[in-house]
Amino acid sequence: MTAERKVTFAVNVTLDGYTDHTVGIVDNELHDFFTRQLDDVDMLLFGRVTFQMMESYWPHAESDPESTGSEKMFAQKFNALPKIVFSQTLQKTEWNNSRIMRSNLVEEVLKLKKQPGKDISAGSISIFQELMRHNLIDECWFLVHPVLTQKGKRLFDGVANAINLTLVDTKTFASGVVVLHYELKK
Amino acid sequence: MGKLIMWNLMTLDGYFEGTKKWDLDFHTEVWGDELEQVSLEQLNQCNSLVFGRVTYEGMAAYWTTAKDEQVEIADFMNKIPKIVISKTLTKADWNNTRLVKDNIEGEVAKLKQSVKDSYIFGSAELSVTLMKLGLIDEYRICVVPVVLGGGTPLFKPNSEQVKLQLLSTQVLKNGGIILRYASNANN
Repeated sequence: MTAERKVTFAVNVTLDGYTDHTVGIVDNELHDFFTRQLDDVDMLLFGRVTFQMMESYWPHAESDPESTGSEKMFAQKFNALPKIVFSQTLQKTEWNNSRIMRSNLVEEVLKLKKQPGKDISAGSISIFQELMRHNLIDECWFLVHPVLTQKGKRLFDGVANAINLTLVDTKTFASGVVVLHYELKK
Repeated sequence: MGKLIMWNLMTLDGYFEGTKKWDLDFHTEVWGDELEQVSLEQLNQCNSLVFGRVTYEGMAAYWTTAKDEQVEIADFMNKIPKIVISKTLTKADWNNTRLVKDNIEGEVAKLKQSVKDSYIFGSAELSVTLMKLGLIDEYRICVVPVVLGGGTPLFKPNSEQVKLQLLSTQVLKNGGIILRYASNANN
């Protein structure tokens, strides 16, 4: 039996566990990290809200003269990769290489895992939470930003099951962001 | 000038205890020689320990009866100067403990006159008060590689946003990682 594809997730989070994307330190080192992450991925999964937010930004970022080289590199890879958005209401998508799925996320992930390919990556926090609840995340990277926001959405909201993880490695960015890389114990 | 340092173990999902009060089972994931060494070094360099009522009561009950392999730390904990900040507590019997009812800022300012640092453990409610007053100089958090799925959050909502400066990281062999940050007020 060949090994199944892994399901991974990399996310920015504050030290106190919130996911407000307006408070983190976004710099080239951070973009380069996320760009490298995409090397191991050939399927991205989104919920509708994050998908629409990303769809309104990244297709233009690729050619925007205001974008830094790091942003362009990320945009290029991100736009090219196959994407699925799970939504019951979305009618159409204009983002390159993306399609809408009405089916159940968990069933779809179980199917995708058995198909050949690179890693499958959660692209939305809602997708991450749903897959965590079903113990379907294999590996994750938490980019801990040096700030306490004390408000907003928490990364682990709605994840009520206990999970043990193994720390694989860590990395520190010049900005003070610490990357914590874990594998989930099954 | 001595600093006031928050020191806590926190799960990946941000809890410092489980759903029941004093459910600290997750500590066993990272507790060991390395963390004991860190604790002892901190206690050796410590001016005072600062507690809120709930943590004070639990710690007093625990360390005055601890035995065997924990005897070294227990001895430290019992001897070391302690302050409990509470409006409701009427007395504080644990050895070398002083009860503070008001003028928190003045009391903390006095602590910081020492060359040695003071530490606050647990005490989530008191921590919120101290954070709002801008009195915590350093956050030292050991992130435990566990998702608990429920419990008491270490950082309560409704406080101000606090920008931090990363000071250092220390990876433990068992997968814990100690993150040290200076609060911006002190930069």
